[in-house]
Amino acid sequence: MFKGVAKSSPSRSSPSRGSPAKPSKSSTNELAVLISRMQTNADQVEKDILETQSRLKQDSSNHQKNKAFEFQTENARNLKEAETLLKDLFLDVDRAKRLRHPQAPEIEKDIQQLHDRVTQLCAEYRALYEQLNVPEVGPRVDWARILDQKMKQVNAGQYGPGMSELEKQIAEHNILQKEIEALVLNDPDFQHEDLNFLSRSQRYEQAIRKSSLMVMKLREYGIADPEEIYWFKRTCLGNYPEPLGLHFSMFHKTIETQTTAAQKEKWLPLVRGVKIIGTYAQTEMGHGTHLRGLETTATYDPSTQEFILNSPTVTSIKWWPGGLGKTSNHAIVLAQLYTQGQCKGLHAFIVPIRQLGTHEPLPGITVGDIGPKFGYDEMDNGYLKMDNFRIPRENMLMKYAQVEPDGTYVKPVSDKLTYGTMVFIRSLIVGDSARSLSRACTIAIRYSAVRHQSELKPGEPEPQILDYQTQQYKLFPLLATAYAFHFVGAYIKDTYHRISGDISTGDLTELPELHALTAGLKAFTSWTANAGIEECRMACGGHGYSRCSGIPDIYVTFTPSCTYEGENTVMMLQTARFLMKSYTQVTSGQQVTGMVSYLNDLSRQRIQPQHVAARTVTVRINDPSSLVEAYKSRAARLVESAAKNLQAELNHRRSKEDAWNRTSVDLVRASEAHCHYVIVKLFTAKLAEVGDAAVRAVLTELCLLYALFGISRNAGDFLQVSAFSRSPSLKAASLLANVLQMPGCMDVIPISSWL
Amino acid sequence: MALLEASKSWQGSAPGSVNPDLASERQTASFCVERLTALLDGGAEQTRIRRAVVDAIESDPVFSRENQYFQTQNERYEAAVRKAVHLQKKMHEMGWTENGPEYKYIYRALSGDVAFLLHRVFMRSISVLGSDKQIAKWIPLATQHKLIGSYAQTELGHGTYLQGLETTAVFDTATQEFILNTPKISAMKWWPGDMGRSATHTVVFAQLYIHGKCYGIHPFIVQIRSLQDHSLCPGITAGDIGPKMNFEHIDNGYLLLRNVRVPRENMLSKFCEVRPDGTYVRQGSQKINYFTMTTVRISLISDEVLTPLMKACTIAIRYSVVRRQSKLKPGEQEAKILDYQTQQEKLLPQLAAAYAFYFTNDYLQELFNRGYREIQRKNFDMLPELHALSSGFKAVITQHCTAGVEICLRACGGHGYSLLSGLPSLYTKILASCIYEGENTILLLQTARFLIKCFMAASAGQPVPPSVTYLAAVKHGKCPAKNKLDFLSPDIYIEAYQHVAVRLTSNTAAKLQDLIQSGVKKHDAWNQCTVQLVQAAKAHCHYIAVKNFAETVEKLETKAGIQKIMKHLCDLFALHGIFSNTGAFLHDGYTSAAQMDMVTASYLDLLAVIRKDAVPLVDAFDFTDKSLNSALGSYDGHVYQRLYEWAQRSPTNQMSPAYERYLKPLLHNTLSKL
Repeated sequence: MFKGVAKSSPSRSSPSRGSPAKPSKSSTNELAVLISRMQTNADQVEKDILETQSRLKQDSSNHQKNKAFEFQTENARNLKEAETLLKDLFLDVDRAKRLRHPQAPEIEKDIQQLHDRVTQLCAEYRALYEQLNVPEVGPRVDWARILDQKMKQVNAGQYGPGMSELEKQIAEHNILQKEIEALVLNDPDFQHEDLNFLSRSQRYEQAIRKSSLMVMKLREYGIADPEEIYWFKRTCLGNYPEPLGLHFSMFHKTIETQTTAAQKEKWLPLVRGVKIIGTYAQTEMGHGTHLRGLETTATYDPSTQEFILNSPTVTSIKWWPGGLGKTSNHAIVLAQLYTQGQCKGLHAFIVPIRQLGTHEPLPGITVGDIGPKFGYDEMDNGYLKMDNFRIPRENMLMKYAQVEPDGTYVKPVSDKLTYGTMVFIRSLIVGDSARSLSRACTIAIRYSAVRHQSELKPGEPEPQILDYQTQQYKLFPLLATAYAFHFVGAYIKDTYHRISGDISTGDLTELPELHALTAGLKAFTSWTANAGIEECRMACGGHGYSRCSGIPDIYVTFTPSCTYEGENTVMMLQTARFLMKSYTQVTSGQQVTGMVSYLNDLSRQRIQPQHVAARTVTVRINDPSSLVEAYKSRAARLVESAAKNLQAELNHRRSKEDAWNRTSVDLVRASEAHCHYVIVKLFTAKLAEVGDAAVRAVLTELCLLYALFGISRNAGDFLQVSAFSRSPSLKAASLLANVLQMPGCMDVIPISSWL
Repeated sequence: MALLEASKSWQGSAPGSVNPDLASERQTASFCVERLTALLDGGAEQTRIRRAVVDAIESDPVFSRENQYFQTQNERYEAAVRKAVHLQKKMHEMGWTENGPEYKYIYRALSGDVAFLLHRVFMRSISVLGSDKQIAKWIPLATQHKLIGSYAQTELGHGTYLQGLETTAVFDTATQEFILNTPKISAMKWWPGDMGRSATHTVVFAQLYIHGKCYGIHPFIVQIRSLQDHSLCPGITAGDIGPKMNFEHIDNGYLLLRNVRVPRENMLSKFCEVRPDGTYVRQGSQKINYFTMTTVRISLISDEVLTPLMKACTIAIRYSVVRRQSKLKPGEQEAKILDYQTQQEKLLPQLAAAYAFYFTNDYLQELFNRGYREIQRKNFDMLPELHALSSGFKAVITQHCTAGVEICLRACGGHGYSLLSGLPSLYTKILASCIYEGENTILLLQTARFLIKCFMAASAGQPVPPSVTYLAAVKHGKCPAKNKLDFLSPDIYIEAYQHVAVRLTSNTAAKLQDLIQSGVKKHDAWNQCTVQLVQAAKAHCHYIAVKNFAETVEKLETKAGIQKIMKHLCDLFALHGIFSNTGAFLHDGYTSAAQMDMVTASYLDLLAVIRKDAVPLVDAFDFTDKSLNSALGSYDGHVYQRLYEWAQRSPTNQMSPAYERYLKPLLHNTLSKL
């Protein structure tokens, strides 16, 4: 099969130039084994191809004569085998290359040819057997009729007097949501196959299939409202990512918010109609969270009115963007803009990367999949390298900054604006933390009610493991955490929508607080949920380790959120920067507002030292609002202590940066304490809004559990607060002792009603 | 070895050259790396033997793990079986024997990626639980691989609690056979390694019934597959339990038994025997059984738990001096991420823990060897202490190291999430160790039971084993530290740890007694104290680990800077424990809030000191690039080139029918409608 390879031994024919080391004996042996294996595999592929060719021909004539297919199974098997063997062959030829086999490039060419022939046959196979049944596009569901009918029902009902009845009615108003769920659940195309048994390539293929179907069905069903689309997708995808996800989120959103009217007119129909598929390429191999460090360049050439894009180093290769590896044909690329010889910082460009129609990478573009990951098998995270790749001037997103035809750079109004999209995504992660943790808790708690183990009382049957104190101690605080995060997520979403309304109208006063809040809460909730999911998995013992328990997949899908969209430690330090700024304002006599307003008390306390002390002593262990005060004191103390340490470092050291770095562990703790306080506060505030007495009662228990668990986990901080205010440490000790009695308070939570 | 490795480095990434960011770290080592490696190995001669084994294995292409991250579960399994078979040949070829000095390094050199590990457990259980006659019959068969064994204990519905197992073995006097059954779905054997597809025989644990009476759990040798064609034997249903988080190379299996008959001689009968007429006879002491569990728990610490953490530290710390991110000072180059205090605070405590537990393992090994000698002299006095320590440390070390590997993974940002970093596989593998060989919470409660018992005995003036004598010497008082430097004195922090351990044990013992005296039933009282009991057991182990580390440092050679750097690591390990459990130390006022601020200050100072030696400290672990199998952690630090090259080899880049099949119709359909 390989021309002349088998006859000449590699060591003899090895050319002496270029390769200084002569192959060792073991590598010669290895090569011999390798070559003979490749020979066998290639022969088999050749055989498969020839067989399939003739059988396809026969079946094709069967088809024309309206006869039944005869060889579909055999052909499928042969092609499958050929694909598998080809994969081995590609891996082997790599190995041969590394062992410096002189004819490796030729062999590779041969394999490539085999591969092309197999691909061709696969296409023929699909054309013959699997003519994709493209549904006739056009609304099939008569929404007007359904809505009319439902509205009549809802209108006919009486509005009840109490909050609980009202909530029920509000739920009834979510007609669309329910109908969409029903549509998906009854659609055979969206049946959940068992992903656990699929390989990575198969999972990608399934995900692409689903994505494509979703687009078509959205059209078919006439679903267009973003909220409805969101529900539709959630129901279709479950918790899994989709390769087209970035097209619909980041790509679409960026084009919508950062383009001029003319650009919108050109690009939006293409994006919305999925005429092109795009992704968002920001992160580089060597650069992540620190955006200013990105190395990709876009140099403006006024003579042709084009930008020339380059990835000048290995570290500058775009790395990780979802959907980039195999799916997208366009990308929004973030690059350092150079015009008239000057660097103007990061800007976004729309870059075509694959040929429409053939899907081949365009000349000057190197693009591919980054290989296997912990999770995210569905997603083709990719790499992108650009060599003198030219795009027209109009492909720069120019709503804010602009480059004029002659290369003149026009500055944007505010630098911060481009961060808006990131803030939005981070706020979504908070909600995702709540959802992922809830899923894990549901599985772990249900299983703990079913699993029996050991004996609590001699002679009695094995009890449910949920009856063990240690098991309750593992799971119930996490359940409470899931609820806490749920309310935080809702709060952030609302705040974002409120403030982002202001951003487009030009009022940016709340942006710093929003930024500080989403950064810290993103980090806090994703860290906690990450650890919590693992705790749930371990609480399920051996079976939790099986992929079939579902928790491993929740974990691997969730855990990268600690890193993406802003590495958590960096996020915490961003929050800390805001806290330090607020603290400085307070010490210089200004008032601060919003979630940090407790810092104002610090200056008051300096005038009346008893103030805080008095409050700490009166912490009531069963009153959430009293616990909020404890969290507030802790946050205030840690913020102040970090600020003082920072100041002390500044007094000793030369630079601000050095002092900041030497205080960063303290700063992260301060941020954590601040976020923790915000969460307890929001959870407590939510209680008052709940109408149904039974629901309020159980939520109050969960809120207490959440707050008390946090105190017991961070007992040192809370003990130091009381010492700080010079109250006798005995009081603090008794407070803690009460907290440790918690397991008793757990027993009252009617867990079953929450499943 | 590591240096050698670098010279035959990855093709295409400037062979032989080391990334200057990594090279500069090695020039400033405060100690001799080679000497530390020898210390960890137990002598330069051991280092030499280990390197020879590693080299022999890694230069053999059959043992290559190069494409591991791209392989499916089936491919991983097949490779593991191939390796297991080849290993026999290799051992013969190299003259390695099971009792030779090389043997213990083989598994490390293979990174555990080999099948038939349960075959050894099968053999060990026969040697420990079988009669001389049974040993004479089965062990030669197993040694010559005439059969492949497994070990079937865990059931679908039952794990750590052995008495709850539901599989039955009913003795039939008429035919002199046992009839084995898994009477319901929860009784199905589930998880045993090598059983899904490989094993021909297995040791089944089942409830023994004779004439309708249950005699409890006993082991039976059961043939499950034909020795001719590997088909399942009559009455046997067996298969693979499917995808797991890791261990794709092992065929963990399930086993259903329906009226499977085995001869009377197949019950392992060193301690209990069933006579032909159905008489049940007990013989010898069963205490030795506990010793087996102790052996397993101690032996897994080194290879299954410490090695992954040491590898993860190596990868994360090397990557952290190559990766640059943001600027520490304006106008300068972006800083190495290891220069950030927050990054140091993530990684260096894990490094200190790796060393601390390495020495703990030595301590346990020594104790174990002493216990073994005593047992051979029929003296079982040391067993309870050994059992308590091995249970507690198995739990504490697996939990700590698992968390440590995850911290390393997340400290590598996005690239840590790539399988090519090596970290996800290390993590998913080590986290199984928290469950197998005894679930951690249950093990800690066993240690706690021992502590409470000893505390009661000590309070009553009775003698207690050496590791717990401190419980009797309850000292009240305050931590004497006056400034942050005092916290670098082992006496100060050891006493603080001791104080916490005593307080948690004595308080819980008191609570337990109060509950019982107030009329609560004993088992209910126990359950109501378990959260605190777990805390007490952890505190006990933590105290011993700190104390042992400090004592080890004391005995080290002072030359070559080794004692000094080990002292820093010991201090860091101790202070990190206080820093992350401040509540326990502040609780009763033993340590004051002001002292806690001193701890924090000393702790943060130490990070900056150890930072300078971080790379030499992981180099001393002496992992080859092949054994790390990581694009981020190689000795030469060419992180990005390697990542790029490995990714291009990913099969996902070779063929994807998805475009033709789905994307094209999608795009075209849309085109026609627009």
